[in-house]
Amino acid sequence: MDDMNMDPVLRFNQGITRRHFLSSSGAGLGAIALGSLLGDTQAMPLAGDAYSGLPHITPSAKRIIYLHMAGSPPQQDLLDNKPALVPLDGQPCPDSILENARFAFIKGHPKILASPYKFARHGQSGVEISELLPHLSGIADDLTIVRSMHTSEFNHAPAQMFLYTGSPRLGRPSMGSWVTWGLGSGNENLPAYMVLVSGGKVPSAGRSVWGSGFLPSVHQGVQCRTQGDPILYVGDPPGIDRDVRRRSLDALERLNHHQARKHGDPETLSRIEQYELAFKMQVSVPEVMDISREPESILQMYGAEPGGSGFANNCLLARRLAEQGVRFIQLFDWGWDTHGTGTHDDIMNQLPMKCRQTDQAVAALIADLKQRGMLDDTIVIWGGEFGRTAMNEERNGSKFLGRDHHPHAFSIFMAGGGFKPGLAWGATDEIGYRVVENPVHVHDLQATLLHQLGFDHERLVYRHQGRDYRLTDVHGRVVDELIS
Amino acid sequence: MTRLFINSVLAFMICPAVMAQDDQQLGTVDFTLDVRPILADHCLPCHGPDVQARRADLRLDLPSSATSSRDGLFVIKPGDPHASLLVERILSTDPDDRMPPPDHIDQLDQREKDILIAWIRQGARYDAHWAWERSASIDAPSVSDPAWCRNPVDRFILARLDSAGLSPTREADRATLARRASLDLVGLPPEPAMLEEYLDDDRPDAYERYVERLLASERFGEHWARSWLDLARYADTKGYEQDGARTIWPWRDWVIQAYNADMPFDRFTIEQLAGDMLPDARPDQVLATAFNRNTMNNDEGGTDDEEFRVASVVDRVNTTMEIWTGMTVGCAQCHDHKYDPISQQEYYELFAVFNNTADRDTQDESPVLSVLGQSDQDRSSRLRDRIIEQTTRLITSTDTGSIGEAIKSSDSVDSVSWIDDELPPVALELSTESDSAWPWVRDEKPGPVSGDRYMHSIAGSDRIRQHYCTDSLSPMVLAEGDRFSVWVHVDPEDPPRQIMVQLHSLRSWEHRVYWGENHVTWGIDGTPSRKNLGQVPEGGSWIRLEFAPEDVGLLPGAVVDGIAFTQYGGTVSWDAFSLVGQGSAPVHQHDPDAWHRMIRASNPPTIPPQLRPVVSMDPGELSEADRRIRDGYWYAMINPSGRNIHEAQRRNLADAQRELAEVEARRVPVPVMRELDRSEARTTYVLQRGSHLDPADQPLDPGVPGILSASDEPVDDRLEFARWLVDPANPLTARVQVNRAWESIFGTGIVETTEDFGTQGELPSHPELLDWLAMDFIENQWSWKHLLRTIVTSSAYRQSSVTTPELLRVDPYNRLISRGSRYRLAAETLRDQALYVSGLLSGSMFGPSVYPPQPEGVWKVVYNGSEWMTSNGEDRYRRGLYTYWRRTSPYPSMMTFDAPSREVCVSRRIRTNTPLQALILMNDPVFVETALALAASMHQASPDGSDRAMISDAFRVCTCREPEEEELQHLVQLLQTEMAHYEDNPGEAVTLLEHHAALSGTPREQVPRVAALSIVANVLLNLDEVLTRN
Repeated sequence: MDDMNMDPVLRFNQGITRRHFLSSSGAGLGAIALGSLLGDTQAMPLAGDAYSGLPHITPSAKRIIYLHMAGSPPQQDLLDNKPALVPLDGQPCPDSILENARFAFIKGHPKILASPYKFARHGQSGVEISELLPHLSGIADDLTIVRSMHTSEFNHAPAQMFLYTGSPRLGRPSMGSWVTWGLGSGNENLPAYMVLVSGGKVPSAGRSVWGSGFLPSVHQGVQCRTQGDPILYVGDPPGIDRDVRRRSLDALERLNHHQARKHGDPETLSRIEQYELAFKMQVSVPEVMDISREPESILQMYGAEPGGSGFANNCLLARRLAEQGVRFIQLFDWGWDTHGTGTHDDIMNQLPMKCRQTDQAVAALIADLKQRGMLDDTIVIWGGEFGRTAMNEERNGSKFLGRDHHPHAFSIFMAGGGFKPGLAWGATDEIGYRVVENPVHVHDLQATLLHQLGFDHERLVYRHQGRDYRLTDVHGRVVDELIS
Repeated sequence: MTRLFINSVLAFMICPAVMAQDDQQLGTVDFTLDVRPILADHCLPCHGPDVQARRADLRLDLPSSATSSRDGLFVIKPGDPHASLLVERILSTDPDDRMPPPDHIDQLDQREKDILIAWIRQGARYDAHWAWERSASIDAPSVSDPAWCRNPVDRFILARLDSAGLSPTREADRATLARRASLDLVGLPPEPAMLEEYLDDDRPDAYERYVERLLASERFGEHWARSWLDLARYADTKGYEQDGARTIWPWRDWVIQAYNADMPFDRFTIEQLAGDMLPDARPDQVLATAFNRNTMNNDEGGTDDEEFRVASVVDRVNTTMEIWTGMTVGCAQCHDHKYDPISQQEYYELFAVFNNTADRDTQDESPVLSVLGQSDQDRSSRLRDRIIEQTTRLITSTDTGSIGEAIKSSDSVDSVSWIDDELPPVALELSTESDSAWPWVRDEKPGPVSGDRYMHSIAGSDRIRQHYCTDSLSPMVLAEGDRFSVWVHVDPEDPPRQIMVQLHSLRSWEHRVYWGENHVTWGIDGTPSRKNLGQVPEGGSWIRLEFAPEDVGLLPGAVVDGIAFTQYGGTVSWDAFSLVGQGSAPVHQHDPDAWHRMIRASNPPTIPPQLRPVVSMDPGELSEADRRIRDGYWYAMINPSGRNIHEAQRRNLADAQRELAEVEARRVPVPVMRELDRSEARTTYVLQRGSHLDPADQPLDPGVPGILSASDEPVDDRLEFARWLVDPANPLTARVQVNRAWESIFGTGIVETTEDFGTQGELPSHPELLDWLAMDFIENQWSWKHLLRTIVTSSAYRQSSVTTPELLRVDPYNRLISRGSRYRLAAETLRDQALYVSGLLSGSMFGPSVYPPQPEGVWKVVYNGSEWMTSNGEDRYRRGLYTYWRRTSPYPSMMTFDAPSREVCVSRRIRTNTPLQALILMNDPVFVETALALAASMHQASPDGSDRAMISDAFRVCTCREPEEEELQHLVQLLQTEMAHYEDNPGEAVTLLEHHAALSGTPREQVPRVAALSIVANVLLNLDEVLTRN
């Protein structure tokens, strides 16, 4: 569905038309249909497309901001209160649990680990949230908490790929690629899918969690760096200023037009446009990435620092990108893999620190979107790639408290984008080991998110290597109860 | 039954209107073109090969099932749509009866219904899928203009153009053709001299000669290896979360050489898939099997090795089938293929072919082959030749009379010096340092205590350093009362904290004494495997240290053939290691038969090749000639008087051996395939839903899918499988390969879906041409160069790529080859070309992957602390295929130009055209530097020449043609504007020139000009024409 597959007659005859520009700058074909419903400026209908049926469903949201706590936070300490663990704390866990259980690191017969943190009910909805998240507790009525998430993978890289691509193996497009392939961009000067990373490290699965798989590579996430150029090579090289660049591009354009006239290849015209877009991005990307333009009150609200590279800055950037029409904004924050092998990864030191680094900024992002009237059509989603065990890991007899990987139950929350606010959905058993009520599988979450953007997850398919692929593989169910 | 009846009547009533006209409108329906796609999309998911999903026990892909009687009713009754239930069902308006069911996403449209009906009326003929049909012999068709046709390729192309009413486009001009052929065959623009020669060559076969030179270029193998690396998912790391380093570049070099040598594709196939199983497999054939060790390896803690071993085998099946047969079999891992006739059982029969190798996702990636890099391989074999030659010369130079004397005499000695000025006689010289040489010195302080040199060893603080040797052909033999003696000199400024001597006897090193602290922890302290004999000696003078055989647990009669000198930190010298107290030299030193018997029993690796057959015999059975060889060697190398006489020759030989040891120390472990033998063989089962935790009950034997099997010969193992793939009776392999070659040259394959020749793939644009090329490929010994020569010397290839709105309308994607093709160059080619035209490209081939500059911070990963160590010197400017390929973070500019991450096999790179690409070509320091280098060469060529001439030259270097006047004017104007700009802003100009170190000495007054030239060069390197193959 990339530019190469476009009808070249159309391309040639239209020259630099809006449609041509769009398709070559990475807008999905679906954008043309669906975008019009969303009121985007560049939307144009196009007959005969495979995706002329878009949107499959009336969309409730235009974009997603996915806040990924890489490494996976412990649900028992944050969103899923398990008082029944308290009397069992330090006791060997029940045998029934260990049958057929596989753990990443736990060996032998592990002991129960109750949460050292207090929970309280918040807001009118009265949802229970841990004392580690005071700011999010303050906006409890805006959140849709799901306590019955479960996944099929229990190591970081496969679980992250599973969450974003629907498959634990490499090579599939990520959710953001599917979405931008279907919806296109909302801003012709910026990539439609952008990624921001904090915590000092990229996620375990590397760039494949924002890769485009077999979809055209224009739909891969563009990672914005927090040091150096925000996008690789977006800055002019030292010694070449804007005027020099403009003049050299003008010369290049004249020469390329000469070539196009001589050769008649529509692709040449497309290339001229790409250089123009690149020139515009050289201004628009650094501009949107510059948070020093924000008022002091907003910086304080997020806890952001101009020049810094932390998660709070990225939350503020996420809002700025959303404002500019970026479709899929993916934040990864490293440091949540709380195994308890030392103070750097335990639940007594590391976990409260990670919460301090993120709680305020996430709450600020949601509140800020709300005050700007953007929360209604923006989905903010927060979570890890799996859960953590109700048992203390005690790797090699460690004295530090921590929890091992746990695929069978975990908690996430959403805000905005048509999700029911103030809802806590699903439940786990007494010790938080298994989901006992309203389970939501990762594929169900994917189906639901796509649904909110106007896609039927069973119809958003791409044929590759003789097979129709989709984000939800052959699974997934829209969780109607979560959405209003 | 009543409902069915009513519906039948209804259908009957509805149908005639439709049926009456369909045949006229549709003409003869073609099963492959018209019918199969409809069945595949709408019907086969539930009525196809997948037994799990199959409904009503009906298979519409098989005529036997579709047309058989079902209680007197027919789903398809050939020739009779009215009696065919299929027609009734697809036309039904009753949601309970309609097919596909109303909730099915893919509903039939009217045209599709008409086609099915017409097909049944016309006899419901099923044709086998074209790709799996055996080829018949094909004659090139007759054409409108035989004179245009240079070879049979052209007849197929022209016949198709004829039928579309088109004529070929005129031939491209020579310069365009020269650049096109060079980029296509070697991945670089033509060398200027070669281009000149070709342009000036007025012989009728000038172009053919030019092509031959390209095919013979060493750059050819590099270019074609590049696309094979995408298929083979080659990378320098293991993938997954840890993504640790993997040494597999020697296999990449194997591929380059195979292409350069035009290795026949059948051999290329067999060696890569099963080289390890060939009889008497050579190391290079085993190395070839690293092909299928390019699968990922998961080193993350807590992972189940079996899970990822199975994932690797799955990848091998899928990759191998995709590359060789164009079959996408992956879906059959979990269930029967929905479209192509591959059952899950057949999938696991393929799995069984690959399921019997020794690798199992372990961190060390065993089994590995110890391999030398290409240049070291040559060096190693030269050294081996030299050693053999010198040894032979040494033997023939010995004097038989002197040998006789030496045998008779047996000197009485009170000490046998074992190491003095050189290694013990014929031993392997080794060290813990990266080169294995011992640190012999002659003139430095303190000077030798004996002879004319000694060992002088410096260790970093608190580091262990060791020099050792083993397998001496003249070992020490201990007699009653002997003691060991060695001279030591400790540097008083930098004393070691511990020194140690170890002896090697009967293949054991557990004989150690030490002086000083107890840092080196080998053996057990306080026993003969690690015994303390006091303090490190006082520094500043030579001191003789002595110890008894019982200190190291050796008894009289023991044979010591190796020794090690170890230190912990400091600087220490060693000299003259000897055995003191013997009454006479050991027997083997004056009796060649005794020596012969000794080394025949111990059989050390140090025996030179010429001696091996001789010493393997009993000394009594030697022929005169053999005896002469043995005695000559023994005299020169073992006997004390002979050693003295032949010292110079011995030293030469020892030097060669040391060099060889140094080269050999650079061997690297490459993961390869090794087949488990019968006793360890794995049993394969169908893995239900693809899960390794859920095997079915029935064990499976290896096998190939029935649809592809040309004969009933069983395929029992990997080697037989590889041979089956390239059996000329198997039609698919050659078709897929020639299609790949066509795609590489024309930009799109004859079958556009290079990766899928199955029923879901695209149909070939020129099926007969595909078959003809495939047969021609096989008949010409599977020669890749022959195939490419055939394609690029055709008239079809030589057409100009200039297009017109008319051609764009009639043949929009150039699928008919109505003109030359035009497309953007691949990521590596763009890089190579920019480096080449700017004069920076390094021509050096092979070896470990290199680290050209990339932005800081790109390589931050979770658990793996490895860093991008930017290469210096020419390694910054190597061809793209030598760039270090990290799967979780591949080289950024390559990714932006659509290179895959190489985690799995990728048959086709989809070409995109994005702003991020423009940013790279304008601003990436690598490309900025190429612009500066090009500017520098423009400037140097004519420091005060005319702007026009200078720009014309550079334009020609980049495009292979002269600029037109209009083009020249734009560029000259740009140069003048930027000259003015940089003259006004000299600081900017200086900053710009800093991108290229070689420009640091540019005279101040020339800086603005060079800076302005580099802006012009940057534009030239970004020209659409330069980024494109025309």
